Amino acid sequence: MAYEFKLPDIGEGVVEGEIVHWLVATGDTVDEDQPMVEVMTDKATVEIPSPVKGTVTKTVGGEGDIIAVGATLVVIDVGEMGSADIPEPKYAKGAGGPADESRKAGAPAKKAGGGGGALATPAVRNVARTRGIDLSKVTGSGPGGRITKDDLDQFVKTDAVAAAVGQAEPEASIERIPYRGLRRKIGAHLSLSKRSAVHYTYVEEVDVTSLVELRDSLRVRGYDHLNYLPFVLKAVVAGLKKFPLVNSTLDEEKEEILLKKVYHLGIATATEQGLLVPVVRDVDKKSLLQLSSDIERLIAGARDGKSKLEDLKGSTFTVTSLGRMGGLVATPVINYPEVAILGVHRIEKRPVVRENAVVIRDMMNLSLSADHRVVDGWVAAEFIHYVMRFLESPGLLLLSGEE
Amino acid sequence: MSDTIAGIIDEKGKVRSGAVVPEIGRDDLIRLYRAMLLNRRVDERMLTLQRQGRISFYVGAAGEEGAIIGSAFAMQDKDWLIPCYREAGAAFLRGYSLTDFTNQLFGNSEDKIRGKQMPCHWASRELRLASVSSPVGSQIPHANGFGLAAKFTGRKEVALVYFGDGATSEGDFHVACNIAGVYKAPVVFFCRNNQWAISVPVEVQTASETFAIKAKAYGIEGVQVDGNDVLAVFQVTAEAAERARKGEGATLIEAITYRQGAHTSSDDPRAYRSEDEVAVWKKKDPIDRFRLFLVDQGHWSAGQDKKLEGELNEEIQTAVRAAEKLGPPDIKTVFEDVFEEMPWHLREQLDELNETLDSEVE
Ligand SMILES: Cc1ncc(C[n+]2csc(CCOP(=O)(O)OP(=O)(O)O)c2C)c(N)n1
Repeated sequence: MAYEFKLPDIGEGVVEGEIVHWLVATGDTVDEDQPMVEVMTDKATVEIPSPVKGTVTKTVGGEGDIIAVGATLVVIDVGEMGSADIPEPKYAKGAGGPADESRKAGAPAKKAGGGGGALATPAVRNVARTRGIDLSKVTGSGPGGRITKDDLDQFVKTDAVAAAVGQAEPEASIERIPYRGLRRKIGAHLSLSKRSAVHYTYVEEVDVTSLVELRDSLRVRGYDHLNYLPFVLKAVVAGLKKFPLVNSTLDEEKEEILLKKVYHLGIATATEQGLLVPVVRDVDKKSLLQLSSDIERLIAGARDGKSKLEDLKGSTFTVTSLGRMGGLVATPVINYPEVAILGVHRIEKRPVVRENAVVIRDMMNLSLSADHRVVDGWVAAEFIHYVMRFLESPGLLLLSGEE
Repeated sequence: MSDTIAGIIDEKGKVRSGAVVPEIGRDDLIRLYRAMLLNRRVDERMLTLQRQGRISFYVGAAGEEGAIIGSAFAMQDKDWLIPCYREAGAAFLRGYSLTDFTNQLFGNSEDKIRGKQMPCHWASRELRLASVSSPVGSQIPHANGFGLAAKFTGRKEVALVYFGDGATSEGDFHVACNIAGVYKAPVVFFCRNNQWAISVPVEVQTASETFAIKAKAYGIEGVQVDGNDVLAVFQVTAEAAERARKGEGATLIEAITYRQGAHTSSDDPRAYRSEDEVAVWKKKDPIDRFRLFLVDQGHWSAGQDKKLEGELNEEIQTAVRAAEKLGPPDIKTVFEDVFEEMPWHLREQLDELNETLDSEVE
């Protein structure tokens, strides 16, 4: 008989474990209580002993793999042993079990009012009963899918029919894609940023008419690869030099702010796999043309999945530009542990007032998110205004570094 | 061994020079040894079951059996034992059966507290074992309740309460010692100084010279004892109980010992302490030491030890096998045991549950 050993909850409420080390392999015989595998959870690293004697016919997962509680870890051929002789681990059910089930259940209830399978406290049930709400149609937002009084209010507000249809969506109409790899890394990195930095966003509008003219004239002269980003990077570096706090990181443990004396700018780049941030190094030391070719090379590398690790490390500040799509305003998430990120929006002709007359100018918005722990609003505003000067009058770039 | 720390047998099982071995008959000595060994073997078995997903949680006492069982042995059956959560050995010595203990771990239909507590949170009113109360330190004032109730009603009963070094940092500890001092409560405060409170080492638990010295501030007695010396623990606890019984007030005992294993099945001590430290304390193991003493005194032999190990193994296997076969308690017990008479809101929930169950059967 084949006995499937499932990963038990080896802590209190653990939901998954990482395989650290296999102590048995397919074909090995195991004794009862013989350690089979070392598993690390967020609480502890422990050896898992076999509850039965037999021969290992399958091990699931390699070292470093994450296994969910309740998933099969080892299959053991126990020979003649009948199922009555085999202990049945009770704590090897997916910890998310009940919650998952109630989510999957779709139409959990068998009875109106009382709502058999629906989870709700007696008080909520009572409200549902008096208001004639069928609890089985309500989606619970509480722990484990529990229906709260707010959920009832919400239910009444939204079109009950639509809600019921939405809820009864069959599994076939959902595609499940794994949250892994780069997607998971992006998620982890950005949540860390949001948890750590005190984000706020400051937005300004810049008149880039001169910059557009300058670029157009350069293009005409054969520099047709040159776009606006190198100018933006140069203007940003001028700002970072003037306001060193914006080019820093916070070391909370040592209670120090580290001001960076290098200017490596990350360029947030959309790729098919997800967001990557290749880094243009030493922006202050490079010409516009060098920057332009660096940017082109780095972005192409990221899009083709050919970035070298060092291309993706070491930025001190990040610029995120959505190009032509560009939007009006954004609240970019800081590329932690940096302390600020600049969102660059599309350039478009807008009517603006100059000398009491409405004129048409090339306008662009900038959205700067900063970490308030290090960069106060006043500093952010001064920084942006300083950067803006260079975008409004790109000729100043010729002088930058000489001020 | 410092002069101020009570000790009778050394790490080799020899009687320390000048120490007086308390008068305990051979049968009782063996009973003590058996309880300690049972405690150790039960812990090992149950931790394995936990890793296999057969029970959800476990708290072991490896290394502290001398302190736990020696102290319990000093008390009379009419005295209350108020556990922390590591004192299953004391309960076993009192007569709490392995079957009851195992049923509680599985929370099955024979569990006396009907699955209402986490594993290792046993209780027995008949045996005067208070319910395990795991909010750290919360059990300490309970001892005053038991002790003072006995005192006010003229019963010559003493309450022995267990707690760890970490619990001395809780307000409850200070409250309890203070009241016991003021009212001369017949209480023995038994602090298992096992060097760790989960991952917090004893060095950062207190700035006092010792834990026992804290007694002075409350006007109660304070003593330190080698917690890995079951006889010395018995001796100081018996003296403390005697004083309490005579109306002379409470004692704070600091038993110096070591938690050899993890805090509980959810903990991994390799993350915060060195294997070397553990190895040093394993050399002072209370069970090894007591075995050597028994052999040295001509009370015990390797052959007897082997036989005892076999017996204990059989006993444990039998209890586990039986407990694991039983199903959970009746679902309706969820609504019972808190109120003497079931209030309307629980009755309504019970009725609703029954209706649902009935409709599922249909
Ligand atoms: C009031 C409270 N705080 C925290 C906890 C979590 N906790 C459980 S045991 C423990 C450590 C107790 O250490 P100690 O008193 O030294 O006893 P030991 O476990 O070492 O026997 C802690 C912090 C708890 N149960 N109750």
